[in-house]
Amino acid sequence: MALGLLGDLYQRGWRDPTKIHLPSAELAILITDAKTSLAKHLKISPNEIEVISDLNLGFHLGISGLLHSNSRLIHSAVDRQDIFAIARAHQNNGGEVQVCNCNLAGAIDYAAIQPSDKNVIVWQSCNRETGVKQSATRALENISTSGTKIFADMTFANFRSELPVNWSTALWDATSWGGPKGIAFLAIRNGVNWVNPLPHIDMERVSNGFSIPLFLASVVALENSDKDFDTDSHQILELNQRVRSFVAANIPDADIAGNIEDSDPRKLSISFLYVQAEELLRNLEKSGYLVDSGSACSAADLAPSHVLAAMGVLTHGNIRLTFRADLTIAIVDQFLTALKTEIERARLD
Amino acid sequence: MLPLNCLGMRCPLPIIESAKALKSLVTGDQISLQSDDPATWVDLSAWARMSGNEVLQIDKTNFLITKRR
Repeated sequence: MALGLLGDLYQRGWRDPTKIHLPSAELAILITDAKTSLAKHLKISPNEIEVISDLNLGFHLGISGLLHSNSRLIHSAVDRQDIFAIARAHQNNGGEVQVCNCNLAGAIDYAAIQPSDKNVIVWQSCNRETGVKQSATRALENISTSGTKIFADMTFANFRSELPVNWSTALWDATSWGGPKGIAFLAIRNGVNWVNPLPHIDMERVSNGFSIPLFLASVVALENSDKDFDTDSHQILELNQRVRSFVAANIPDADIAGNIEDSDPRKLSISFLYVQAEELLRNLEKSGYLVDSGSACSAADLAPSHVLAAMGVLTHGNIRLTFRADLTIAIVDQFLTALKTEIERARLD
Repeated sequence: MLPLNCLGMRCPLPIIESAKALKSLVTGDQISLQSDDPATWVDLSAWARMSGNEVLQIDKTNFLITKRR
């Protein structure tokens, strides 16, 4: 639906909403309404939202804006590479960095953290490779002080996921609810001491150089996704469980990352012993299935997925599946038959 | 101890070659594996967990595998 509306949104969204003409004023109202709807869905205040055109920039603004030279940046071994890059920059500037490891199930261990006002904690709601979710209450209640700042990475969380109670900044990616690529939402909590780390114009908290039509389409996608959320979630969970059960019963030597109970069912990462991922992916594509992988032989830099490595899950022969509500059981079953055939063939070779 | 040179091999070949070599051994026998693939230690550890064998990292490119089943 959001895709179908894009043409109309481009017709209406090319104007400058700050001008005094009637069409500009109408557009400004549309943007305000969209921000209000977005804030309602994400359970934050409309004036806490900044629209960002680049997700990587969102990470930088959200985290670096909380850091001082004496801050201790705490993040996990399963965080996105953008966060590792920010941590390296902080360290190069004399700052302190602490990385928390995780267990085989993907649960991050915060036990070694000393509570301190100088802590800036990066908290990941859900891992985009494995779907493993972290519990905010369990993870953060013992290590927070009144001065601790928390950046919540909500970029792969479902939009109904709760923020940590004492969050400072948070980032969402519109693609996580089916919106277009190129739109992210940074929330800066009212009253939090956040400073834009980039050169900027004084009146603007964050540069507003985002695409208005894409922003509006993102909010339409969110509203649509919300309407069907319960039905879609139930269907996706069934599909995920179907794949897990089939693999456990029919394909030996498979390593599934994370438990279904602690994971978002939209993602599933499975590694197959003695199988080369690149060959498996090419053969699955020939059968009509486009599948991603975290294995080294499928990556440009020949490095295995740092997420799988941190969890201790097998990194070769890996596939990452994404489940959408429009997938049927019949399609998933056909895929599973193809997967079993290709793995058996790969192991014979 | 059986030496196994997998230098220059990319994943998953060092693991496949180790598993193959292990088949001809009996419980308690060991393999001295040489491998410079960056994924070797991570995958060897996962393989040991899945297959019930034991592994030890000696240094960056040397690993000790003990057959346990």
